Parts: sequence; C-alpha cells; structure tokens
Amino acid sequence: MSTIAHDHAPGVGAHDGHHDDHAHHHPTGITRWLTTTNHKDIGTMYLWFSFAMFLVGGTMAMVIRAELFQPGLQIVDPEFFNSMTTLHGLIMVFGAIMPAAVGFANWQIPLMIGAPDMAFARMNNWSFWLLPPAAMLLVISLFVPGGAAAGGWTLYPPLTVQSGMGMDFTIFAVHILGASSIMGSINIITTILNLRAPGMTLMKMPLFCWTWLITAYLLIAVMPVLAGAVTMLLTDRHFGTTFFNAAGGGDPVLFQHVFWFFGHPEVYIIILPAFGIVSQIIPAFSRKPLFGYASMVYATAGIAILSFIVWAHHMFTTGMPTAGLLFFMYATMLIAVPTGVKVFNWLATMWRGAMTFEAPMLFAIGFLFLFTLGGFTGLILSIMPVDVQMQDTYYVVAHFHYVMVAGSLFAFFGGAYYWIPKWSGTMYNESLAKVHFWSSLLSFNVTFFPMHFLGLAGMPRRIPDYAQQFADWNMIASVGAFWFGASQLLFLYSMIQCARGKGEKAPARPWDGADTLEWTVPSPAPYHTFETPPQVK
Amino acid sequence: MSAPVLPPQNPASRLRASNRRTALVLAAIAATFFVGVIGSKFMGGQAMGLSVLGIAVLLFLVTAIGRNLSSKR
Repeated sequence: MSTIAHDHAPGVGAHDGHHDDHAHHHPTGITRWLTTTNHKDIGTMYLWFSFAMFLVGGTMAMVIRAELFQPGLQIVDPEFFNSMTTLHGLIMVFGAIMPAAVGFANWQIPLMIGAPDMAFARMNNWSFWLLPPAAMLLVISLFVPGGAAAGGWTLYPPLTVQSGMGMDFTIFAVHILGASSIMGSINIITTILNLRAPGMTLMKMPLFCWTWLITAYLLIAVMPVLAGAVTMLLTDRHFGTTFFNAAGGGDPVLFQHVFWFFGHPEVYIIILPAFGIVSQIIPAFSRKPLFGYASMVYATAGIAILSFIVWAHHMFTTGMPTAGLLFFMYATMLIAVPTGVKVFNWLATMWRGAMTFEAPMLFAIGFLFLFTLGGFTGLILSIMPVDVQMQDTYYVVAHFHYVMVAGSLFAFFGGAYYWIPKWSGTMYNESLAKVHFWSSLLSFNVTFFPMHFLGLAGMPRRIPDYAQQFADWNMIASVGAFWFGASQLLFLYSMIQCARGKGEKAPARPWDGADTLEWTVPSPAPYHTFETPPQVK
Repeated sequence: MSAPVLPPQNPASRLRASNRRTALVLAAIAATFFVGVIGSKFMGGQAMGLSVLGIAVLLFLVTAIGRNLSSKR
C-alpha cells in the first residue's frame, strides 16, 4: 500500500466536520477522564501518562549520572544507586515507552483504518487505568523497608529471591502492567481484524497499523511468559517453591531463559511501533509513496518471528553448549537482514523525493541514523567471542540506549510533532521543535557515544563508583545527560502550548504528502469519527 | 422435520460476536503461555514444556479447522 483513495476529500476545514461530530453527551471534568471509552481520550491519557513516567524515569537517570559525574561515592549510597538503575529501566520500558506506543495506537489506529473506535471501548479504559496504580507501586517501593528492587530491571534471582518487600511491589506492578498490555493487545488486534472500513484490505493498511498488529501478537505471546516468570519468583519468595533455587533442585539460570524469552521480543515490541511511525513520516515529507510496502510488511513479520529464537544471546556467558552458542549467534545476525530491508526502503523512499525538513522528518532521519548505529553495535555484540568480552560493560548500555532512546523515543517525538495538529487542532512551534531536535540529537550523542569507549575500556555497568581511568568520559556523559534531560522541557512546553490551543490553527491536512485516512477528518479530530465508515478504494 | 429457522442477526450483533470470538482466542493464547510456562517448570523437564505448547497448538488448529469446515457446510 502506498496511497489510499477514499471518498472523503482531503483538506476540509474544521467547520466541515459536523457530519462526523454528533452532539453526543459526554461527561466533563475528571469524570470524563475516569469513565471515558473514547479512543482519543484514552490515547491522550496514555501519552500524558507516558510522558510523566518519562520524567520520573529521567529523574532517576539524572541521579545515576550525578553519582557517576566523578569517581567515588558522593550523592547516594550503593544500595539506592542499584534501586535507581532498576527502577529507571522498569519505568522507562513499562511506564514510558510501551504506554507511549499504546497511546499512538489508540489515537491513530481507528482513525487510520476508518473505525469509529476500538473494538472493546470499556476494556480500553480499564487497560489504561491499570497503569497508574502499577506505576505508583513501583515508585512507592522506594519507601518500604529494605528499599525498592535493586537487582536490575531483569530481576535475576537469587538476588531478587532474597531482597526485601520492595521486590513484592515490583512483582505485583509487573503483573498489573502485563495484564494491561495483554488487554490492550487484544483490543488492537480485534480492532484491526474486525473494524476496518470497507475496502481497507490488510495490504492497504498504513504501515503503522501493520507494525502494531504484529507488535500486539508479540505482546500476547510474551507478556504471559514474563508474568509466569515473576509468579514463580513470587512463589519462591513466599510459598516454599524452589524454581530458581539450586539448593532445592531449581536453577537460577532457568529464570534468565524465561525472562529473555520475553525480553528479546520486548525489544521489538518497543521498536516496531517506532518503525511504523517512521514509515508514515518519511513518505509524507518525501512526497513519495513508501518504497517496497509489501517487503516492509514481510520484514516486520520476519523480525517478529526471529525475535523468538534469539533470546540466549543475552546469556552467552552463562555456559551453553557450543552448538547453542553458534545457533543463537547466527540467528541474531539474521535479524540484520529484515532490519536492513527496512532501512534501505526508508532510504529509497527519500531518494529523489521532494523532501522538506520539518521537525517530524528531522526526528525520523535522526532515528534512522542513530538506530542504524545502535543496530550495528548490536551486530557486534551478537558475535559470541566479542560479547564474552563486552558482557555487562558500558558498551551494552550504549548499544541499547541507541536502540531505545534514539530509536523509539526519537520516533515517538517525530510522531507527536507529526500528529499533534490532528490531535489538538493547533500547529506546534516549528522553530522550538527544531531546537528540541538538534539539542536532543547532540546531547544524546554526548551522553551515550562515550559509553562505547568506557565499555571497550572495561567499565562494568550498574556500579556507583569506578576507577580513575574512566573519569573523563563519565564526566562528559553526565553533562550530556543533564543537557538531554533539559532539552525535553522544550518538548513539554511545545505540547502544552498545542493542548492549550496557543498557536497557528491547523488545517485538516497540514502535510501535503500525507495521504492516510486521519487527514480526511478536520483538525482537531472530532470526538466521534467514522461513525459511517468511509469507502476505501 | 425441517431445521429450525434462526432469526437473522443484525450486523452490529454479528460484529460484537465476532469481536468476542477474536478476543477469546487471543486471551486463550495468553492463558496457555502463562499456565504453560509455570506448569512445565512445576512438573519439570523440557518434554513437559514442549508437550504443553504442542497440545495447545494442536487444539487451536483442530478448533480453527473444525470451525472453518462447519461454516462451509
């Protein structure tokens, strides 16, 4: 699919949308947000929640970087430092990035496939409202006796079997977050399979919907596995089982296998929606259809399938048979093939396009450049003998932040700038958005590029103190981290201005290369859209 | 004796039924993975894990093929 012909004429003004915006009564104030079943309201709540959690997780990152600004212990004690690294990871993955992706899905999927709402509107509300209590459990765990979980976001036993009450809070939070994700995924799959507008075949769907469809299947397959793993952890802690206790006949390494069977697909759960967003932005600002639509769909599916058979590359140093090491090494390398298909298709889309470089496009290109760098370091780490040297060093930290931050986060920023005119009816401040982009790009690289050198020099991750030889690069990384954190306030200001309607009024289709269904409704999108399904040709 | 004539379903209720069916299948997959991963470890051994997964896949296939065949009749 590259373009969609439809009956709605693009470019209609906001006042033309009354036929879609029936005067249904809906509550106002806090009741509206507590009881809403509208996909747009729920999408908005997901996005604000995820940004709030991004700030909470970001603050924890600042504590980490402040402690690492120079060698020695200055600000926090080592136990608290470990809690910070653990909660930073958990909050960013489960509280910030995943909910942001679901927020985009809630807003965009019904609009892009011509559906009036999500298939299970009440369950959608419940999926969202499970998140705040889970987030509170994670944060409150800092204040219980024994402190928060401190064994890393991977929750490896035996440390997590032995730690205090904060670990129980974490396990419960993971259960709730998992339930929310599963319900959200069921909703997304059902919506896409059953509520597409007439004529919108699967292979005509915008790529964002495809990437989310595949992501939702991944979530359904792996979130229960994580839930199972932490349930076993819970029973080991309190009910006398010994799943992960060698003294009772269990195996701590078993947890790692089960965790990474979830954990590696989780990486793609985080990155595939970002791929989808970028696949909408690049054609729109290149004024060309997406190059190789079908191959993009198959590449996405290929990445998802391969993601199930590579988990043990996270465990090369745990002691595996040589055949196993070779299998997981080559399987991991194989993922570079479908990922390469995607990267070259994005480049081919831009090739000879009439490109302009508004903020969404800048973030998409930034994503492309930095994600590719993160992908290459991933390829390096997939080489087993190299990984044995790099395991648990800052090289790994640099690698996954290039994938998670410069990958997902940059795509989400691009997506937010791309769709905010549709969501709020107000254009964002372009100059401010460009400052946000360049500031984020530079500060991100100042923060994380030196971590490659630190890792290669042998600095281990998750330590509050380090040898003198690592001092210079750590100081630079810390300065970059504070700069990156401050840059995000520009984004917050920009979004608040749009939400308050301060700015130029957005037309129905502010980007002339954008051709998906959401641009056929007025800006801001009416509360109810596509109650009469559009006919897609 | 002729078969009883069922009242025609309106499109909205047909869609709701279809949504429910899809959701139940997906929830069943999630439940299988959750119960399967704990059950296989509880009972011990890789063979148990593979059996749980194999039986689940087989059951889904049999159900799906059976439904498909019965709807064609």
